Amino acid sequence: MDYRDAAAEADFRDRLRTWLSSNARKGGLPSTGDEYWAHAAEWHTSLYDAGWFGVSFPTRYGGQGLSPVFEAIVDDELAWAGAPPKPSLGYIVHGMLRHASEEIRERFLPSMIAGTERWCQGFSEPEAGSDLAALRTTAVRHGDEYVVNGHKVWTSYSDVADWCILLARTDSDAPKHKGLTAFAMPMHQAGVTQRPLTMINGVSNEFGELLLEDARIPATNRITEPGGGWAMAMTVLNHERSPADLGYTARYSRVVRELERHVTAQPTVSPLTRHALANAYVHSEVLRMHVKRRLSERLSDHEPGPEGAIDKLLMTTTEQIVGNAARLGGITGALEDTDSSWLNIYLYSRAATVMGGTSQIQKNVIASQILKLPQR
Amino acid sequence: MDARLTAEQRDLRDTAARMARKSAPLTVAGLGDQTRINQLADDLTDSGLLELRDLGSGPTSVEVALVTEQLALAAAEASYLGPTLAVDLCRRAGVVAPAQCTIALTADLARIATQQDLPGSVAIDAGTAKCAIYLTSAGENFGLACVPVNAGVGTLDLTRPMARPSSQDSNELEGASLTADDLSAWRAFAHAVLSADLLGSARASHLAAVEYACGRTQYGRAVATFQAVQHLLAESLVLLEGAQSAVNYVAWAVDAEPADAAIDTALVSKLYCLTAARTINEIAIQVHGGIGNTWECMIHVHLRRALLAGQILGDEATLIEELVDRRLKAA
Repeated sequence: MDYRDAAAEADFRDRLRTWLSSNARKGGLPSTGDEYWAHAAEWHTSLYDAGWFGVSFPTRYGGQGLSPVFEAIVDDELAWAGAPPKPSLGYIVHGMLRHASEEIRERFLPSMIAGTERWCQGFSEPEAGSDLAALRTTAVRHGDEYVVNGHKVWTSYSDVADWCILLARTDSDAPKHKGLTAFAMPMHQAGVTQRPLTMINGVSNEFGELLLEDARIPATNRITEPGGGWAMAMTVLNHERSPADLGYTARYSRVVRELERHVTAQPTVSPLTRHALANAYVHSEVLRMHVKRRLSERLSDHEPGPEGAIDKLLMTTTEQIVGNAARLGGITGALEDTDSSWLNIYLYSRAATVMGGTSQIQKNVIASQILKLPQR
Repeated sequence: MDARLTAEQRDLRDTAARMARKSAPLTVAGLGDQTRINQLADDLTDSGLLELRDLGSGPTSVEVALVTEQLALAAAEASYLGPTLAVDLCRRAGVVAPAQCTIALTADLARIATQQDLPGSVAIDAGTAKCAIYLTSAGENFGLACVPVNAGVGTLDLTRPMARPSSQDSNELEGASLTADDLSAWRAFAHAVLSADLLGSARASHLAAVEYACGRTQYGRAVATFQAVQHLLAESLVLLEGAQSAVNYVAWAVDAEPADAAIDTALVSKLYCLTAARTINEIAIQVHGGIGNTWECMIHVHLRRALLAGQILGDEATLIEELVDRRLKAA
């Protein structure tokens, strides 16, 4: 057991640190305002162009084919430089790698990883949240294309996306998990209407809903076999639940560090705030240690499975503990109308235990698939 | 980076697990069985596991943590933590540790005892200890001395008795010299080992709770089928996995990282593990229902071990204040 960098890792870290010393875009605090999200695409391409994004993805799709532990180096260094986290794309990439044909992978992965084409994820619907397999959006084959009708909601990055990884029902007679298929749907077309959803903290750039009215998808854009959509969705969600793929450890570490600085500049710090700060640091550090352990497990060719539910709960607990420290340490800025970013971090953190599968669903997964508790 | 255990480390863990299980108390009534206690003490001595931190040993903090966790998992009635901390302190001071010795702490367990503290001090984990070491002053630095102990104080931890250091017959350990930095590094090592101890106690209770929930029937079904109970056990597993990741990292860090980073990591890990262990034990009591609140249920044995580990070398409040001070000073 050795957490130290091997020679190649140390070299990579040094080069990244040098690059960040002149390229770390400080920007606003993560997820607190529209300005932050407005620069997300630019940050993605500059990271990628310099060789710091997609480092563990296969080289044939534009990644660097490095071991997963390099991702932890990227996260650590981004956090220490005060830079924004890396784009949260790993889960879609892994879903495609596992379930899409070679043709689909070659067609879509390089531009997705390079950030020249942006993606959103069309899974959830108004009537299909936790019960995702109840989704009603249909895709009906007409000649060389599928015609799609339905309503997707809670769709991150829908405002800027060129493509949507869409989960739709292609067989309404099949049992509900078995009638689903995944597609790459072009977003720029008449049948797709995108509407922003304003988040609890006032951000309107990140989140949206999609109205699909006779939207068209070429049949060649079908990602999975007909009926194979559920399996892909599970892979995507297992990765979407993994802080190792999301790069969120960098986000939390950065918020904690800047909050510590913010609080140090205040005339007094209450005992409760001090306690909350300690707790935020403890949890963000333990999450970092946890990600290192998980990435090392992948060295044994371990494909993330239900333990993603554990990781997600560790991650979202951390997000809310960090959010709580931000509330205690920074709420006066909102009262005085000088700086609402700390309040916004707190408010945004409340979504963590819902998006990507609620905490309650994660606990069901842990109980049934990991603890294997009897279900009746 | 490769954070996986090596094959040798896995072997060592399994050996310690077998040894601990063989002599573990299975019931509360079975605590204090001198035959088993002696057997485990002999096994530990024969295996050399007590010498992992001897003078001249290499970086073995991961190995010590693995053994500690396995002993805690079995609620082993063996002196391991105290003697290992004593041996490690002597190593740092450049001297060979006296045979069968543990450490003397202040009455609140917050720090290692000095000469002045000695009258009210306690020797922890003193089941098989004959003496305890404490700090003496040696110019700008510290020295070490050793004093015989008299068994039998404290009722917090039922598996690891404490003892009172004697008021006479102290022996200076000749040549021992420790700087304040040495002591800080030793304390970080101790918190790493204590984190592993907490992890073991937590795992024991979690496993017991899962087993109990699957066997206990109410309303004609195992209580483990109820979502309310399932969610408690799931929360417990999440904390356990977080604690495992913390212990893996800190166990490596205290021997491998620069002192300042190691101290930070040790505080983080100890704080996470003590809260996790207490919560997991409390969940286990809840899942055991009425039985969980009785003396005969083993959970309180694990909880008591965890409560003691949480007090040694700084309780929760002390460590939180220390961590915040360090962080805000650095910010």
